[in-house]
Amino acid sequence: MIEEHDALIIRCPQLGGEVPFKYCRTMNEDHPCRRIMVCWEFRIEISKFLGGHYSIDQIECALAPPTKTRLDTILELIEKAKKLKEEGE
Amino acid sequence: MKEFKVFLREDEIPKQWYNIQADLPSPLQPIIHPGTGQPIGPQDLAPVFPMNLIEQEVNTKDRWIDIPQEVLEKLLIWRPSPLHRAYALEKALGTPARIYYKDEGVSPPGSHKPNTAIPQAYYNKVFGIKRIATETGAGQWGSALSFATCLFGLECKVYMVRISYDQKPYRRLMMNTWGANCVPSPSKDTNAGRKALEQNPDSPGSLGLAISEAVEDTVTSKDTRYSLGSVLNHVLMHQTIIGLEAKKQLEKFGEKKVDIVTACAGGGSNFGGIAFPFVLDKINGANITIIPVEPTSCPTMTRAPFVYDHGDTAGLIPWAPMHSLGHGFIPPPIHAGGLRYHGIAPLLSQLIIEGLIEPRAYNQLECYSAAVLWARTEGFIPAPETSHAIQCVIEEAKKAKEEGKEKVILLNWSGHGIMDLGGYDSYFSGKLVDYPLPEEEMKKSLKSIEGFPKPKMLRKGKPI
Repeated sequence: MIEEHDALIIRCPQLGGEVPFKYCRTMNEDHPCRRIMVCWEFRIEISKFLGGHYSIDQIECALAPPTKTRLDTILELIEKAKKLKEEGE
Repeated sequence: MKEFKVFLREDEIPKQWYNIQADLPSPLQPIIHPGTGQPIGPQDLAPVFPMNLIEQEVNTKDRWIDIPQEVLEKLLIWRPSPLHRAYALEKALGTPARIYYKDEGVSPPGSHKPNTAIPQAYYNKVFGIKRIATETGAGQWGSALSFATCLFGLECKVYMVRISYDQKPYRRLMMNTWGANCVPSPSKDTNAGRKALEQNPDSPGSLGLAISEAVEDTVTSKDTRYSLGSVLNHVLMHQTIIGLEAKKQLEKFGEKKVDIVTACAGGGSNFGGIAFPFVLDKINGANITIIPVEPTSCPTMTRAPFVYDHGDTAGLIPWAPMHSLGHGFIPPPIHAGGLRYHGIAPLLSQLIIEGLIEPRAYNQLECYSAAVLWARTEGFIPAPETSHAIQCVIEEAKKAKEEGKEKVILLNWSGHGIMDLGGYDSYFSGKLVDYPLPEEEMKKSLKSIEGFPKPKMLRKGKPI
């Protein structure tokens, strides 16, 4: 059952506040947080949990470092803003 | 009667910030644009920051920057902040060291953050900006910027990570009280937020998503700019008012020199604020040990090599040279949210290379022990972040006792822990564990940045 640990609470080092395990397994577009392995290592069998509920591809995708896609996105937004400004002038 | 704390008169507040870039023995390496692979220029940052702040960001010539009168008048609401002598802690430790701490928890939002939020709001206003967008995790930075924009009559939009928005209504209410529009992220106000909500209407959000929303808002809205509360050069420069005040106050205490300066270092603004004016003295020959402190579980400064990495976990901010564990680094469950930044400010990285500052790391259990000793002697309950620097103070005070030396120790007391008593509860109930990052974990993390360009390592202007 994927909800088995959902009620457990931990302090999120990224947010600076308490969060339930459900947050850690869903915050990354419904996939696990990149930090889930380290944060929960001493509380539950996190590797077993991930292996039991996600495919290898899903795990790799969720735990992998972010790609440049988001950066590409922001640069596109900046270019768009420049064009908007030029149009406004 | 002995003095417990020293206030400066209002007319003694520093009138200039210290720009350490003018004194770096080696210049900072350029920030690389991920798209072009070329160093970015001011125009690349112009859509998200006003040019007057960008000019401060890249200013390597002017050692002193005048603080505008309008900014000083806002800072005077709570500044100059007091410098305390920690007599009770000294007595408990039986140390000959004289311990001083700068109390930055006295600002209206309760942290050092408004030291930069106020000038950032001011410079945006004089540049013609009407509105500022930002993101916040648990709400500290959002609160500080809301306060600052309120003082200058600017609109403020804060994208607060949904789960914190729901859990911390008081932080949200602080922002609302100062007139900011604080919305949960994901929101319906941006494409990024709407997309996330379409996928999951109950999405709890994330810091990366909140950054995406704030930046998208900035670049697509009229007269709007983005604001960041740490890491950047101008942010650290605005914080130097802390150290400049502390210098004057130490003189009033009768101290002719300081031996040790320390503060916790997450993104670096708290540490840089107190330390940089003393780094100047060290550059000029003073014998001062300057120590940024971090958790052993997130050893950004003490174990990581100097590499290029994204400046944020979401990979949105252009690559900057900094000590980093790689943006894929997974911090262990430390109870110090403000120390979560996986890459320290580039200025701090350069000072480490130059040997001007000496980072140190402590385990969270010894830090909580230090925090409890502090609370039971000095009274104030420190924030988990602050406790790391307190542990450093205690270690140095004990060393002074062993050596029989009357050292002068200065600490930046960055905030109270009243909003963080859950961490203390975990400590008292034995739920906390120490987790020094294993070498294997470090190697795994560093693989994520193997292909990134490597900056030159310069010490005193020469390659090393």
